[in-house]
Amino acid sequence: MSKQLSSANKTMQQGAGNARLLSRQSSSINKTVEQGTDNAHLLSKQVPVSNTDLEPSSEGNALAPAGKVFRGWLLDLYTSGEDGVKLWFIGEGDDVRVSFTHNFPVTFYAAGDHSELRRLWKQLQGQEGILSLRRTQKQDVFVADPVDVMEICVSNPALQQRIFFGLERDFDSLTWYNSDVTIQCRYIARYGVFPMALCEVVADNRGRIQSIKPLNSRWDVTPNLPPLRILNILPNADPARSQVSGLIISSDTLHEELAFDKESVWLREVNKILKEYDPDIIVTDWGDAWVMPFLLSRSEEANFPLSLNRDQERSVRWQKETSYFSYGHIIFRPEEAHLFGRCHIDRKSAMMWSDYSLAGTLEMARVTTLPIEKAARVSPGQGISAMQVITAMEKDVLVPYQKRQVEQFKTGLQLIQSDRGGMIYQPKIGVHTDVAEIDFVSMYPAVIIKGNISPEVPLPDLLEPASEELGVVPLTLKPLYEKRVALKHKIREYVPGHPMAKTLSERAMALKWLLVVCFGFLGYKNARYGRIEAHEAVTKGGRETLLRAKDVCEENGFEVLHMYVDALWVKKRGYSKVSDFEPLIQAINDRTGLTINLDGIFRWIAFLPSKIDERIPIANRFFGVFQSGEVKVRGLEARRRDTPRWIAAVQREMIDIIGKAKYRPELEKRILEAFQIYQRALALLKACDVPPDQMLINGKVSYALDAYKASTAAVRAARQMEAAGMPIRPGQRIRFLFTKGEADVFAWELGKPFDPKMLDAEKYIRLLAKAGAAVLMPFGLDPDLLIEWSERGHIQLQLKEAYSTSDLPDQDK
Amino acid sequence: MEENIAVTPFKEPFIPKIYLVLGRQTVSDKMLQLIAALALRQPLTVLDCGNRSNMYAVAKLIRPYTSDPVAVLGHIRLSRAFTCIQVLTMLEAAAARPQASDPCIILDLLSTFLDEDVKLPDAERLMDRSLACLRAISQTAPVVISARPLPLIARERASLYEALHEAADTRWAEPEALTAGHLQPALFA
Repeated sequence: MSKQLSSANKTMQQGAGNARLLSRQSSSINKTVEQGTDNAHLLSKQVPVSNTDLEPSSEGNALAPAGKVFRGWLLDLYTSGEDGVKLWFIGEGDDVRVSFTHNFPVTFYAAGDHSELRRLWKQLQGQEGILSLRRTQKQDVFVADPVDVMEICVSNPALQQRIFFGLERDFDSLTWYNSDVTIQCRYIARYGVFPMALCEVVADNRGRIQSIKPLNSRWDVTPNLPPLRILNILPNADPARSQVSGLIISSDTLHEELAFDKESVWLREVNKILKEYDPDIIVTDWGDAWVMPFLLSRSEEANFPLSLNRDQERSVRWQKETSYFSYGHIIFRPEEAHLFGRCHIDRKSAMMWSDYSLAGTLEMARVTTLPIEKAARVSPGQGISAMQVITAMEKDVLVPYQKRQVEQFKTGLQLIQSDRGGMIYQPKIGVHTDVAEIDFVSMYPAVIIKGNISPEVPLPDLLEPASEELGVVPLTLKPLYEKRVALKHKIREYVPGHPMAKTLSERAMALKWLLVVCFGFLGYKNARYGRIEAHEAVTKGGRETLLRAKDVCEENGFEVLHMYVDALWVKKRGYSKVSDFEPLIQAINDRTGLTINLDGIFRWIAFLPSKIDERIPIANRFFGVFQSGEVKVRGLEARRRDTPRWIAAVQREMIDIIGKAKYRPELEKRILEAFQIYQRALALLKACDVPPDQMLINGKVSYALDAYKASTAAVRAARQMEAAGMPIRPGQRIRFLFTKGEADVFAWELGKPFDPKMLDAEKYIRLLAKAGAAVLMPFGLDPDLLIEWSERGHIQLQLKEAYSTSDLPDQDK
Repeated sequence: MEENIAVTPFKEPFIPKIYLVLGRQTVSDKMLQLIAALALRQPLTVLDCGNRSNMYAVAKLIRPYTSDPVAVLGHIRLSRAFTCIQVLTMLEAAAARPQASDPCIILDLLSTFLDEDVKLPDAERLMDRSLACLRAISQTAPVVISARPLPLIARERASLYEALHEAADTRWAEPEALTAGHLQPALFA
């Protein structure tokens, strides 16, 4: 078959509207409801399978080697009915893919009124699958003494889920423990194995595991990892914007472009690749929303089953779409396609893919024990939660199903004193030279570990722990924190740009995100091991740390220009080398007991004022250039997600050009160059000569559309999409353009052609002017004048005296 | 029958029963005014179910009337709940206090019951048990509850709102905003 894309064959082409059509079609596909491993009621889309259609299976290698020791890396683990759990491995020496089952009874607990427990016992006694019922005592983290509980042991995890959800309804006054723990958490807590762990397995001749043990640790800095077979399946166009006419399939050994055809030859080719290459990970773009639904619907139409799963007994598992709150924002997560025996990662649904890619995703899966597919998609908070559950189970502490603990009573004054965030010391507005930025390494996690801050232990007095034995939260974080520090040290062994440095950086970034969310998770309402007082103790510790650091700086003659939660910007006349700041770093480390690093020394840095009142400083709104030439920008348009890409690029270019000035005589020339960049950009904009896709505004709708009384631009764009039959969910991102005319926005996802002349140039000029003004203002340009000049012209622009560039050197020191 | 809160301010003195205050932001402000007014005179309990207890605002309100704001803020006994399970636990604890007669202010009671992670039958069951606790508390202490109108997104949870409405002995409501057609014309339009 032709492997070139053909535009001739139009009948099979799928386009923007087809993504919606597919989602409707897929709902007609046979759906069966099954219990997920994590409480989710998951819908399974099954394609009817005819044995005669099946080609010789490449999954023949999926037979377990019987009665001998097997060594391999764990790839996938899931519940498997009465078999308990099913595990898929990548063989260590022979590149085989093997599955085993493991009989895995699970236990959960109930506590409460004795008469209710008695009634529960009567109901469960003799019920199918109940292996044992007994009364025992266990430790609840929120209760000082062990609690009396009924221990219920069930023959397999799938049955346990069904039994529990029935009981929860009938016995609502009981407190439940360990009842909704994922199978992955249970398994690691019992056997210590985790995704990508190298394991030693002994199985019987029916492939049932007799014993299993890990040969490495989650905390290995340079773990022995398997050679993964990764297959990329990408549509040849954005399905939301244009007609997709084929798929691009690639791996380390192949690259094929398959054009859609009437006879479904392309579908057979996809299946052949799946069978012959037998990938461990399928990476897609728009896989959840388009590729997988499209493949399944075509498979159904052609009555030709696809080997998407390595486990041929299972069909693709669909996790329902959801909207949820995260850090004050509503996030929308579309429906997800999960596979069995191999993993599907949709880069467009993978929350942190742009930050840490596949290496970081695998690191996330290893340390959190989340399945790889889930680790790619969920927020780091779920990873932290899983890790805390494992810590609790390893300590034989109960895992609460629903947290009931409430805040201890406070007086009004105590609330004012405790309910505070991080310390902020407003910056000194203007341009400053030779400024050192120093910040604490993962400050809040470090405060949690040093102060032993956990919901179940006495809280510290500032930074000094009140008890010696580490609580669940610091016990979980300590190895994570230490691993990240070790990875950061490891990165320094490689030259910048080395592939290994990139991989290590991505892994460190994954761990950084876990550490970042651990503090917020302490105050999260649904966190099993959260407690608002512990959350407040962390910010209190953080504030104390920063104040101690400030004291040290001032005692040593440094001027503190700005402080922001975990970082300080300091300077001292005549100090501009790394060695000049080392004694200060050491002194802060000694005073606080936490590690602080020198991030770098700014050649110059500009702290910006409020846009409304130039006398008022704004925290964390600055730009500057390190001595290395690296530019750092915070709080400016270039960093904002809703700034059009083109405007962000213009602003960044202006900063870069000014950043090249090392000496004062050069500065004026560079400012002029930056202004010329701005002028050119303005001319392009006025001539409507900017590609519309570079001017997209990335907005978001936080609520259902009918809940809006006043409509923002994003809401108006969303309404256009809704009118075109596209469903809008809270938290969904909406890309749009500002346009002239009555409909003042244009929803980009509509997929209609757009005339660049329709851009509302005035609105974009204002956005550009604000971005340009932010850069030029510290060097003396009045931002209001620049905006007016950009809009109307005919104004004499004047440079005021810059805030402070007098100490920029006249020549090299 | 609901009284218009814009016209009729909170009636005093409170007697032990359930008062329901319905409205949006202005009601939040009025509840803080009520907390401040009560705290100037006596101890009270505040159970915050919607993260509405802005004690800075209360401190500002009491400041002109006392030389000892610390003591006045000390009259406020406050706890926050972030899930409806926690709301119930908090109310059960409050109901278990023997013969407590201090006024009990409950801020934004419905907020956590609108969490879509909590299924409606579960939310209704928890609301029933919460209302039972409120009735118990109101035997000895006045209970003032604030609630916001249900957002459109939560309209299928109207039963929760109705149950709360039904449980209240006295109700105050923020008046609906006037629509454009009912606004008085400006003198100098």
